[in-house]
Amino acid sequence: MNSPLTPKAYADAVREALADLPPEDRETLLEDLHDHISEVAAEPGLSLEDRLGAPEAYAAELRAAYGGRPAGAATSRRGRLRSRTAGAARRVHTRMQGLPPYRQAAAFLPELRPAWWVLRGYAIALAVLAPMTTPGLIPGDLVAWVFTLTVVWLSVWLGRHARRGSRGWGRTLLAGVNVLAVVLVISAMAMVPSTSPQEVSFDYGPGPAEMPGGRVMAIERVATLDGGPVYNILPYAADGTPLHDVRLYDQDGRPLTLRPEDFGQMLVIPCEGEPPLRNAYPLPLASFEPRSARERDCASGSGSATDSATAAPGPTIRPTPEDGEETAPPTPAPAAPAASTPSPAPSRTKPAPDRRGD
Amino acid sequence: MDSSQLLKGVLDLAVLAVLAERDSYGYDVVRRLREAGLEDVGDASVYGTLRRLFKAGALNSYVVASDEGPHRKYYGLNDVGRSLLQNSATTWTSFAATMNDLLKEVAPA
Repeated sequence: MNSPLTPKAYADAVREALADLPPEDRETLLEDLHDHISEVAAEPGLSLEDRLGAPEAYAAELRAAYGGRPAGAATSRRGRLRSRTAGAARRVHTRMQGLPPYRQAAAFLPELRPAWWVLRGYAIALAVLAPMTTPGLIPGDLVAWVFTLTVVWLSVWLGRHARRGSRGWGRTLLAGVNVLAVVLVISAMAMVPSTSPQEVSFDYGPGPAEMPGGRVMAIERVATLDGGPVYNILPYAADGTPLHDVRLYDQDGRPLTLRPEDFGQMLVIPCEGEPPLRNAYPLPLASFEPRSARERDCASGSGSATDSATAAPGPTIRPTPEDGEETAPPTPAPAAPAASTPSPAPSRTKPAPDRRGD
Repeated sequence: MDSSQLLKGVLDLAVLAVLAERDSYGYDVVRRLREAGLEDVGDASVYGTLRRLFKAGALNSYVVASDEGPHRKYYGLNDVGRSLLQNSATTWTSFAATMNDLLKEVAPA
């Protein structure tokens, strides 16, 4: 150490070390520091630095005594508000520690932190992907999976590194990301029940449909019946007789139609003749097969329909008025003994023709 | 236990008590605290505390010209400072009594 500092040089060095304080705070604090230090220097014997330590250390002590906070702590109003909020939270925490369940939760919550990092990345990745693909709770394709895993990895990396040395805008950004992820996760949880019923074109509530012959059938939220998808309707009369060709319309006279195609089913169109009405229930349905196969069947059957039918091990898909509509209901069997106990419906078991076609 | 840690919590009270006796300037407060037995008290801590109490409105101050050396800024208690001292003293007394009670087996006074 060279020549001892003069009181002015010492005071200036202290002032320098406190340069980050708000100007008016600093002035109030340092107003008569010079006089004070001159007083100390007036004591005979030791140099200022021997007596008071390095100016930086003096500044740190001054800062702590003046603000009651260590160096680097915010002295702004926002900083004070934050420290007051933190203090209140700490007091609540201390009081709640008295409750065993709270104590246990507080003990294991930190262990769930990595799980939150994964969930956070997953939620954000899906939110980013949502506008590009069909929204869902799992990524749609390989690219989406790769993207999702990358975001999850990033989120975990961030979680592992954020604790040390994050400050300022980085901390704010991270807090924002966390809030966003929480909102996404909660809204996704709220969405789950509404995603299971598939879109069906008649979703509009209950409404009695008048049948010719005075029979009434009530439609209650068909799309969500049993919580499962609905792609066909099997009307029964009050005495348990299955009804055929029941045409359904809404209150405005629009036909009520379903979308069996969305469920791998297709409307069976007779080889010759009109295609069936889309709102005449029950729909004659068959598992989906390529159109070309059906056309081949029709073409091969055009010579003599009976020959091809006997030659084939399975029945043809041509729906006769009787068996074509008898898609026997598996679950909602009417209590009264059905007029005709339905034998295994031909229209439901017929993958044979297209295999034979090859 | 490091007594400087304890001192941090009660330095305000110590400074107020010294000033209640008579008005003082900064370095005088430091000296009197040390003479009273708080040898570890830091100059900067006392100076910072004085400025903080002044800013908080607990002290008044006036400058006295001195024959030799710089002007001296004297500090004294105003009404706010006196009631602050009163409250802090009550708190300290009951706290100290509790601590003494807790420790009377270990370290009899």
